[in-house]
Amino acid sequence: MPLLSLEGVTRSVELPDFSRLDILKGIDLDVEVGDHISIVGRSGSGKSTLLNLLGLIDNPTTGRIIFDGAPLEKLSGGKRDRKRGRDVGFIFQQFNLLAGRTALENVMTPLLYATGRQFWRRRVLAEEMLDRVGLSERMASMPDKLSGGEQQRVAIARALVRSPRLILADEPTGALDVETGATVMELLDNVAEQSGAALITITHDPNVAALARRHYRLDNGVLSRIDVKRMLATSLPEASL
Amino acid sequence: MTWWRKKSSERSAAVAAEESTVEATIEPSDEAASIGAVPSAADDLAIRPKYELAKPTKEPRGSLLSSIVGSVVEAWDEVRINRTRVLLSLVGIGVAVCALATVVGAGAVFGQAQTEQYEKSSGRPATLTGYPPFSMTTQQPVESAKYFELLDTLVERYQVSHSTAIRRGSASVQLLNGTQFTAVQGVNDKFGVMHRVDVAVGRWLTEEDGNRLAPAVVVNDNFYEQLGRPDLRTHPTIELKAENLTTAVIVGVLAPESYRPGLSLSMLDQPFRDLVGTKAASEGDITYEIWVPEEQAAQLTDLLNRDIAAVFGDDINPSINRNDYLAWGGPSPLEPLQWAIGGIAALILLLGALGLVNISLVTVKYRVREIGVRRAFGRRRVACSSP
Repeated sequence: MPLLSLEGVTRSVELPDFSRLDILKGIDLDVEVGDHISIVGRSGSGKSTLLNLLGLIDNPTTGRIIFDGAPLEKLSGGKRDRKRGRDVGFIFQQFNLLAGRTALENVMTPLLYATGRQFWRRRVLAEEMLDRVGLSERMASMPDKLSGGEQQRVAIARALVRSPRLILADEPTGALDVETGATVMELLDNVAEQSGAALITITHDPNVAALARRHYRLDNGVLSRIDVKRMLATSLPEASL
Repeated sequence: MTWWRKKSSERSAAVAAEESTVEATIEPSDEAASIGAVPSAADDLAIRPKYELAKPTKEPRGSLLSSIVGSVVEAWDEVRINRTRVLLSLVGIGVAVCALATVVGAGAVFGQAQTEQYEKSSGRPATLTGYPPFSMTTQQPVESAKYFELLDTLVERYQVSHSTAIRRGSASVQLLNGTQFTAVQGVNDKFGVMHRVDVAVGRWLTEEDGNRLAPAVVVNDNFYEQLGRPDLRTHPTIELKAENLTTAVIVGVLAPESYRPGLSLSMLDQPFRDLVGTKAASEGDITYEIWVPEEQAAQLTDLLNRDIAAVFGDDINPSINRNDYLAWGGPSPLEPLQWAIGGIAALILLLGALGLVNISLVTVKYRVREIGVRRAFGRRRVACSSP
């Protein structure tokens, strides 16, 4: 059974002139446990909308989203929030670390919404996670005192500290230089692989997308399978997304 | 070699093998069928040890306690990190509450002062006042002594605890600047409670004062001033002359009252009658006051008038009426004050609420990204509305 299934999912919004804008059209996608998928697409292609659906934040206009065998529409708001907190980890392009809180406090934040041992041992777990991403020396540092790469590593630690089963990375290297981006992606890939979580990377960079096992392109709301590696190898014009 | 190419080259042979099976491009029409049976993902996952795959976790028990503790920790963090904003919000709320409490408190104090002022002059609610009634047949008032005797009996019958006859007259008295006339009223000890008499020095009259050979008197502040403010511990006496001459002992001095500039003194009813004698004031200056519970005032008024009529005949006018300030008719004299205080309080509440809404809106706008991030990590929607 797939961890996450999207069946004929569409998403549209009503514009001020009462016309409808179709952002996503008939998306079908199965995500297995431990999977690594990349989705590339230009700005405005619907990547963020798809991310919100994958992350159980928004509801589809039509179609079904099934997470862990449970249709999304059957989950109450509270259950969905709890499931999101427990099973989904988010990594953002701009890191979105909470200002005024240390790296350790940032990593502890998701554990505030956990229960049981995860909640009561949140400091230990956060310290272990930061140690795992190589930031054991920077635990007390504020986000504005960290480099971009370090901030993204904190964000990765924060996303993974609750051992999610699905990691959603939205342009994880978008705000980093090439070298730092490479390091961060390698770390994300390794940590995700070790934890056995499925990783979905949404990016406009085909080189980042190439690290995944399955590649998709989102174009005008339509998701289609592509082979990024072949495109990169043959330097097809499509590679410059 | 760029980093991603380097990484790609390091990937396992198995992965590389499955990658080669993927078509360069897949037509959208074939997509749905092909995604469900992706060879690469399935193959790759098949070779990974089972323990590496993330397992579903069950929600542990005790989530309510951790939710509460989590909320407290989060709120404390917010206070700690945004202490200036939180402090200003709290100061704003505190100032609004203080302003509201001050206005309401000051209004209550002022209202109470007004109420007491009314009660001093007209008696406390509900005060029933009786005048010796006129007989329609004889066109003469009934005999006041008989009338008061009857009221004393009725008051006892209806178990009213506070009542007093009030007789008013005048007497001459020798003061520092010569002989002067002073208003004199004869009351009983209950009058002090019924009219909220405010004694500044000494005490009010008591029942035991009736046993004195030299009657006790309580004078007003003007009287005391013109007497040279003697120390009451020396039991100062005054000579009062009306129909008879009497020496009285001053036992108390009333608090200054700006609206009663003349001289006046109060004494018990019997010494008053001994002093004034037949020169007592006209029958119109003789009243009888009864302090009764408000809810029984109307019923007692009817009963007393019926009983008086039974004794003096049906040809007399009803002589008992409610006469305290709440019975004056029209809106309550305190109503304008209450409206003013209510209006100011409402204005303060409105300003406080607007300030709070403003702070909340600014806070939400300021924290909208943070709220989004927290929601992404599992914070419930309802919890995101807290400051």
